[in-house]
Amino acid sequence: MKKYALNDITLIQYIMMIHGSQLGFGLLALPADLANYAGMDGWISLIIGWLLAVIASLFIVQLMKKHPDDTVYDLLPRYFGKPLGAILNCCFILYFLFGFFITFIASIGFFKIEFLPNTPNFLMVLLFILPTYNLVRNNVRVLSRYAEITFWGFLWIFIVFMYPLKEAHWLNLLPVLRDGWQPVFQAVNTTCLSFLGFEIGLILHPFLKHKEHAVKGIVIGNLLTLIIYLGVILICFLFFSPDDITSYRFPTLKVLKIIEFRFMERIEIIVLVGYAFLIIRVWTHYLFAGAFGISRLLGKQDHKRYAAITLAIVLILSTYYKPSNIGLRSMLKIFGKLGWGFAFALPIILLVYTKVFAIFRKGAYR
Amino acid sequence: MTRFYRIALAVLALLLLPGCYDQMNLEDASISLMIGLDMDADNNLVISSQSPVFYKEAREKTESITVKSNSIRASRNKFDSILTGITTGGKLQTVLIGKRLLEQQNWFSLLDLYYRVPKLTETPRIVVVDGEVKDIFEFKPADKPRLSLHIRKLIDTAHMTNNTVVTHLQEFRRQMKDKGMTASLTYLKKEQNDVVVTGTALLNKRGKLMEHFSIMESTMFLVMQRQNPRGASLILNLDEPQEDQAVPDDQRGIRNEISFDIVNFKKKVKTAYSNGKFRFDVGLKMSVIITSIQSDNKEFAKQSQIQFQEKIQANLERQFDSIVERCQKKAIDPFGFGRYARAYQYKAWKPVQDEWGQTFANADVRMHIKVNIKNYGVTDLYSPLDGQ
Amino acid sequence: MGLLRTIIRGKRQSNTQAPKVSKHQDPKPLSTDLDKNVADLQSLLTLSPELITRRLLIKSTGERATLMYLDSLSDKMAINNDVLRPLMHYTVETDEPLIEHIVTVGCIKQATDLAQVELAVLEGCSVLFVEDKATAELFYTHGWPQRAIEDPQMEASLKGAHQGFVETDCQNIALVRRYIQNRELKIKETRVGRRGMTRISILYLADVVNPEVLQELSDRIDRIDTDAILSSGELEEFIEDNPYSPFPQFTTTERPDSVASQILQGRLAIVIDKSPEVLIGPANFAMFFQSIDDYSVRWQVSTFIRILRFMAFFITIFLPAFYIAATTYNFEVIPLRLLLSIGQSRAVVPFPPILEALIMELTLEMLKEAGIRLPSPIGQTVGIVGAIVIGQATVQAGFVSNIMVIVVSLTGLASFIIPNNDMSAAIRLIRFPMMMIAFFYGLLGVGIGMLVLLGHLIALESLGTPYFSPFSPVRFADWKDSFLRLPIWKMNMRPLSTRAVQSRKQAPKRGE
Repeated sequence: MKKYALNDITLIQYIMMIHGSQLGFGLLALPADLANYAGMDGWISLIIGWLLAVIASLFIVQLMKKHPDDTVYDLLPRYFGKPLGAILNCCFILYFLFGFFITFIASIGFFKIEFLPNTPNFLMVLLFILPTYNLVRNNVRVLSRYAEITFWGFLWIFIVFMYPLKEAHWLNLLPVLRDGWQPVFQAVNTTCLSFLGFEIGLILHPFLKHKEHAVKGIVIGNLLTLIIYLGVILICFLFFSPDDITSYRFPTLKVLKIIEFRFMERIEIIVLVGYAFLIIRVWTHYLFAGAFGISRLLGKQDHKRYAAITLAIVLILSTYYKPSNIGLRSMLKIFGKLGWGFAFALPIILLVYTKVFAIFRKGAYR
Repeated sequence: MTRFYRIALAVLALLLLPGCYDQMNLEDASISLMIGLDMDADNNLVISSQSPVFYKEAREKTESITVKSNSIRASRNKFDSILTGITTGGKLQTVLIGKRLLEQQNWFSLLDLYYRVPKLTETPRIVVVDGEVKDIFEFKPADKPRLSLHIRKLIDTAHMTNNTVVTHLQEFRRQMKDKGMTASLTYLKKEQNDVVVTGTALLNKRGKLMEHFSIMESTMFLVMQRQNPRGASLILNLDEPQEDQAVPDDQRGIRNEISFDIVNFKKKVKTAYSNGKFRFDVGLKMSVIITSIQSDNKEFAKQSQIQFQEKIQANLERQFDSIVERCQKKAIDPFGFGRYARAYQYKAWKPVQDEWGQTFANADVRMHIKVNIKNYGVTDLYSPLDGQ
Repeated sequence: MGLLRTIIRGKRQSNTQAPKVSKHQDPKPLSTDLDKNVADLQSLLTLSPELITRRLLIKSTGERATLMYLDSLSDKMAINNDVLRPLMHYTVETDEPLIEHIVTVGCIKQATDLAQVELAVLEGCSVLFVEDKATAELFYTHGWPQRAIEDPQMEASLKGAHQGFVETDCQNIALVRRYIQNRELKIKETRVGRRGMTRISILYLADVVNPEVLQELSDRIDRIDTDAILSSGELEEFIEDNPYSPFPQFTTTERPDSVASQILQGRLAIVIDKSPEVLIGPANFAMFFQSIDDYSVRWQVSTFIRILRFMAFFITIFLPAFYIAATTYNFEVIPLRLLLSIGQSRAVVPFPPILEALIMELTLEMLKEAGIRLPSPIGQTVGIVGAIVIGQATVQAGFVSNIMVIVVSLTGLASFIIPNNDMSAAIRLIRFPMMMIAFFYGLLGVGIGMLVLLGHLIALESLGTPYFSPFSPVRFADWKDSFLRLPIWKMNMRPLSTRAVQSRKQAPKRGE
């Protein structure tokens, strides 16, 4: 029974979707957050965080492997029975929708500050809903195509990031591990939020055409994210004084502010517009995962309607509820904590459960 | 399908309804290109701004304005009440800072606005003015482009020829906040009919003007500070080592002078810490091309390359030592030795990081210079037939 | 509530459409009575004064017969010389003197049904009813006013062939067959339209084309239920995947060599009778930026020109929007010197940039539209008026700024170098919403507009194949012939985007 046969995606598209779900807000705030805990050794924490993410990803693939045509929404009722499965599915749906909401609102707040500080919030939401719905109403295949083309199409952003290297101060990185390992481990917690997104693999797995490559795909997807984060963080660390980097909210952007070409100045504005193309992937993927879950839960084919309803709710919400920066940050933190649960811990628990389940069933059969 | 397009249409219609909150037409803006901060005689903060005028009817193409105010943001309101357009700082080119302002405590926080508001730019050059900032704003040169453009260009080209540093706002903040170094800014002076770059102003950690380098010293400073000072050209006076560098050019007459361009450059700093004292061994290895040898002394020209190189080395070492010493005396570290201390002697650095200036004053800095003459140009040093 | 619902959802289209009648009317067999047959046909085609009924005696057999045809649609010479004369004067020395043995017309068919006969007559056949026979003979003696084959107007070529399609489908098919003399070139013929009965032929290479795509296309054509298909554009609207998209989802061409080249790539060509434009599908985005001349000039040159066309695409859509965004929101991005000169030229203009841009862009559209339909001598005058009025007077009058004139002429120029007219019109239209969104949200708005456009292009499909291929899904192998044009001997495979079942098209080595 192949439920999702018409929608299969290639390995590269799978990689890009995993990577695209990850490369979000972390790109902007990560350097400051890392420096806050671990100083210039933050890059080590990042690599540790990546290792954790890869391990969790591998667990997810192991979990999905057994029933290759199931998404997590099909899997949970299979193991836990209908009512309990439905409740668990609801938890996942809420988690994905919360992920969508927080990344969406936080990014809009960010674009608002950078571009249109006086424009009312709901107008900004309106502006971003347009492309979001335009993407999310399609199926996985189109989403993956988008993830793929934007990766190739916006590689130039990372080339632009090379420009500030001419003012790099390599001495900033030394000494390595200046205050020992403890701050490094402390900072790992903050990297978790930046690597969140690989849990989209829970939904994507049945769509992948060659499932035997799933392990490779999810690792490469994480690796791409690591490379980009690492590059950006190193550039920020090299550019800013270690004593000052923590005073910036978004060091990644500040780095670009000094770029001026003869034909165009203030490159960071252009890069930010390009960044909108990248970050939209994060929340559309989450929204898709959520809306898709609702449609599965209700046994409907089409997820479009639920995505539209969610967006409408967000729009209405945005006219009344205007989170402050601090509110947003604490919400991002909560999401990070949830992420530990849903993306890191839950797959492991589920995997253990399925093993036990299998043994138990075997026993009962005998 | 239909529904989506209907909703999209409705959304578009909704978009049309509200006004445009952040719109600012270019011609309505008064684009501040140069801003000046100074203290007047009564110790009031004086802020000046210069912006281009677009209107055809206007005779002057630039408008300058000076107001008394407590902050840059407050001054903008005053500008707006006088100028035709709405003042914006998105294209700021230069920030001029009066010498008197540098005496003030905590003046650096005046610039906070530029780091906080994303719309503002962070590339304007920061310049210390020897004299009153007002003089420059009132200056209307006939043979130069718009003054604000001229000054920016002047600084950039002076930097290209290694006559002074270029410090933009972002770099300035780094220099001010990094505990391992102190700031260095372009030093400018208004003379009779010209605005002249006079070298480099050196600030201490609190932003106070402590010392300044002449143009020649600035070149040496840049050679020392930057990793790759390609094309820097130095002029050395080779026969009278005891002579002071600050002698004005016109009193020197024709001397035995040698000038050369640096084509290749390597800097190595060794950091050591012993007995509560930092020691920096700075190794500078440079390959140079001789561009002129100005001498009527045949013996001088006949020297072998090794002698020649040694002479240049000794001379350079002396000069580098003198600029380092001057900084140490004033307890400032524009070279950024503190960053080496942090990188290589972190344990020793950590307790002294907050008073690095004093620590640096006691540090032992030794210059080891190695000059390698790559070529002498297309004329020989001396004719073999000559004086035989 | 109900009203609101209709506004939001739109009127539900009723699914209970009138049941489709069969292509031909109810079968009505011919009778053996000659006069009844004649009378039946005459009663079907009443008030057609050009219907000729010629009674005659067949000399060989001595049977009574009646020849009927529409005078206006038939070749009178053929009827006189090849039908009437042999029938009435010649005898044939065989045992059974069949009509085929007498009449010297190339194609003769038999019909047993009145509806078939009617359709044949309406198409220009002449029909012979013979006494005591329930079958009618159809002679293909078509002859109607025709245009000669000319140089294609819209797609002039420098080095390619100078033959363009005409309004007769069999001629058009002949033109294509001249390029592909292969037994695998198949023609699937159907008729569409209750009144028009337009003949539609799908041309394809049977061993190359993906049967699913072919099936999809013919299904869609079969589903059409309309009066008549008058042009290729009408057919396109009935069979395209996304009817709301501004982008054309089939290419149209009037060049047989283009059609042949696309068929060889594994695409399908739809030849519509009475239309000189042939539809080609499945189309992809890059196809609209290619012209047949690209393959006959040096590949470096043609790569350069193709890149130029893609740049033109971006310039047309985004340059006016960028100008508006930059002068109303984000002037920080413009280098200072340029900003000063823009500021000076803007200062004299009393309108906001959006109005200025709209005025000029609309003027450009009007000039273009005025120039198309006017006879060429007057058309040239329009051009001169445009150049003088837009170029000089508006600026001098302080109506628009110099920079705006540059922007408008650049967008105009850029939109005209796109070889396909449909695509060029589409992107010229898209630039207006782009300008609006730039006016409301500045550069961020332009970015979001670009994002919506990209999302739309990615989701778009043509006959079930991705429209934006090879860019998305990224297919690097197809990039050889997209915005690049590598040497022909490098393109060994048919494009993946056509989903051709036979992908290799030539030996991997260049003939040396």
